[in-house]
Amino acid sequence: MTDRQEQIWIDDARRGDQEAFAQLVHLYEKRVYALTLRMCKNPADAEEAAQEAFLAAWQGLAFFRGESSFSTWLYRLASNACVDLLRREGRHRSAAGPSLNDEEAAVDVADDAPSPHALAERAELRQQIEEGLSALPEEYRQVLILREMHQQTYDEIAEILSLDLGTVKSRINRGRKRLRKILLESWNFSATPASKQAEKEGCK
Amino acid sequence: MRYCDDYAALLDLYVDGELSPEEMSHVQDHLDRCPGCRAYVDDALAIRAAFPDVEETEVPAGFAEGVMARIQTDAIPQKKPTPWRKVLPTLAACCALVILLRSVPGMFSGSKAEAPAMAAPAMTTESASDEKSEAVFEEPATIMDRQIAADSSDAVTEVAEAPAECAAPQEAEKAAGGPYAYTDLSGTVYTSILTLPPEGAELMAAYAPVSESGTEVQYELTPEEAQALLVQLETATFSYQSEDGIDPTTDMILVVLSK
Repeated sequence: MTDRQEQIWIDDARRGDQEAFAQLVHLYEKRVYALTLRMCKNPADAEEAAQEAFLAAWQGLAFFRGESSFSTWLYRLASNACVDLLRREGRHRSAAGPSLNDEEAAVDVADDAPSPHALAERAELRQQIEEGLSALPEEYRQVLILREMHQQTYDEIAEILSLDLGTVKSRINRGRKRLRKILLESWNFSATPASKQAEKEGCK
Repeated sequence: MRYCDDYAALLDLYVDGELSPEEMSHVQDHLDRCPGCRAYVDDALAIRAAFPDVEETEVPAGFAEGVMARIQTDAIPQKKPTPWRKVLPTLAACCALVILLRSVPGMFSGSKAEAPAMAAPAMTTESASDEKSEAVFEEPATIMDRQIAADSSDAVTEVAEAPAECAAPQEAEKAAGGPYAYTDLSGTVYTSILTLPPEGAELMAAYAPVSESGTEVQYELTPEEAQALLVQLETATFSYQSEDGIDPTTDMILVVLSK
């Protein structure tokens, strides 16, 4: 599959060719579903949101003019579909987890903690990350998934989520710190008074 | 050990490759000296390495087929961008009329609140909902379009404030003599109008009229029906009026047959 082939499918689908659109669905279903699964947090909602995203893409192809990549545009539709679904079901806030004002500040990393780096070899880390993502506020989960799983740039994430660049930077920064903290805590790490002192001082 | 506050904001940008080469080099120099910041960067990279992979995601069986089945069985249509060349003259005509009327001394001595709210709000609602439904598809580079839409909304708002003369788009359009958007009471939006002389009655006999008055009969045609009719009209012996370039892929088409 080349970019050229994808462009041909997009052009054909825009002209109403359902077969071409089916090729695009096959090409992107995994990526879109991977996104909605983490954003909606349950498979049934994720499938519905992914389906809505593709239907919206079919309906709105005339509005896609290639100024962003097709994937970026599609992720935006998927993100919107998730938000709509959660809002419709009244679960938007409850799924968001703790307040954004709840800074990760208090506890950080101790020198001798088993860091995620050290745990990278372990198969459990992936599972821990999945669980950590679920525990993150939605705003942080979105940006991290788009960044780490879909390799989107900050500009692309801003476009997908209709945020300004500064907000994207801030959310990635906070989201990553919070995820790191969750990972460390999930390995039964608790900061000692000495390490807390070290945190306060930081490095010089 | 905690990372440095001075570098906290830069470390993520560094990990994500969002810094300039000079900044990258600057942060790299710092990382060589600072174990706290280095631990943060190492952890971020470790998280990335272990992050769930798209390719490992199992899509529900038959997902793509389900999407295509909905497109086919529900016959979900593809939306088309609003042909501004058709809508703008209408709005321009209304605006011109508003400006003209406002320039007449005494015509608008009351406040805006006193201006009668006539049929136009229905059109305003339609326009607003269209804009909303399309907004999701917009790309950032379509700000120009959005601006046009916003301008149009302003224009429509003007219509809402206008007196009865402009409240019915059809009336305004007749005055302007150009293509127009017409909203009937049911909310159906026609973006193309075809006016036929009485000789067209034979051709239109195949269609059921939607309304009839003493002077004209109106028909609603689907884009496909309108396209077929246009083909027939090419060989017609009478002349008829249609705006330049009826687009058979747009909304419903109104045919007005004069008696």
